[in-house]
Amino acid sequence: MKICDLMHKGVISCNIEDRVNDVARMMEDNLFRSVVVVNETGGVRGLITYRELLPHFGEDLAKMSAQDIMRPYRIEVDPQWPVEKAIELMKRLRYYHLIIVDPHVGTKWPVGILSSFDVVRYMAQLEEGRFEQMLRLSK
Amino acid sequence: MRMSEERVSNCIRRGAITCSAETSLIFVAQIMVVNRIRYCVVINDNHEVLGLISADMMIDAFDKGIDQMKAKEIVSRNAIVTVSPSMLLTEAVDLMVKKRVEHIVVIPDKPGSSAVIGLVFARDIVARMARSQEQDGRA
Repeated sequence: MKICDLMHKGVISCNIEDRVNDVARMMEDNLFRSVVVVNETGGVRGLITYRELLPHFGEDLAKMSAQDIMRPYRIEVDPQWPVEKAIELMKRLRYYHLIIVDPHVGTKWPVGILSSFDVVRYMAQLEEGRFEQMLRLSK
Repeated sequence: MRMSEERVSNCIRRGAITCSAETSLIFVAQIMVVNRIRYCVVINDNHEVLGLISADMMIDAFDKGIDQMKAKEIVSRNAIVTVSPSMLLTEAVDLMVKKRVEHIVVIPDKPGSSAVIGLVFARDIVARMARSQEQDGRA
């Protein structure tokens, strides 16, 4: 299976200058666990997940910008890679959210996110439509 | 109430999804996917907590022959963070950051009892952070 078959398509992104309280709101309102930080041209600069936000609990988030707390991101993950390669990368770097970038344009635009939960879905070996079947079985 | 005075008991989601130590990892993955959760608490026959398996830990276990593995093989006491309901929320968040986890298990104060009351999720903490800024803005 390829990454593009498993990844979450579409990302929520913010600018490097954005205030952290807005980023937290963005996550909360959209029920997303990760926000991609992009520069003016839309290229990936970093990633903010719960892990980056939690150390600032109780602090004034409006005084911080996304750039201050983000995890810098330099690796490029291609949607056509096999899933195993992505898992290898996750394990080695301990990045549990991989940003998938479009390989066909000059600036590396984020097109999706592969999270550890998506990989768990792959491990569960449930085919499409089997969720309902399992739920019926458990009744 | 100020965020710094808040107790863990205000932030618990009661109940937990559990499995036994003998559950196969594939089934743990299926439990996560079907319930749309990123954790599974491992308990013994007396409902005492043995550990917690997160989606991230599933990634680390991948390719060690996941088909044959059972929950007890990847669960370890070190990977679980337990707190009591009367603990300050800020202390609990510190633990989350230090141990690099996104779920903490809440067990009762009394010694000898370790049946799960519920969990504290990183997501609820971030939601609080987002909301607290909003309140400050109004004040």
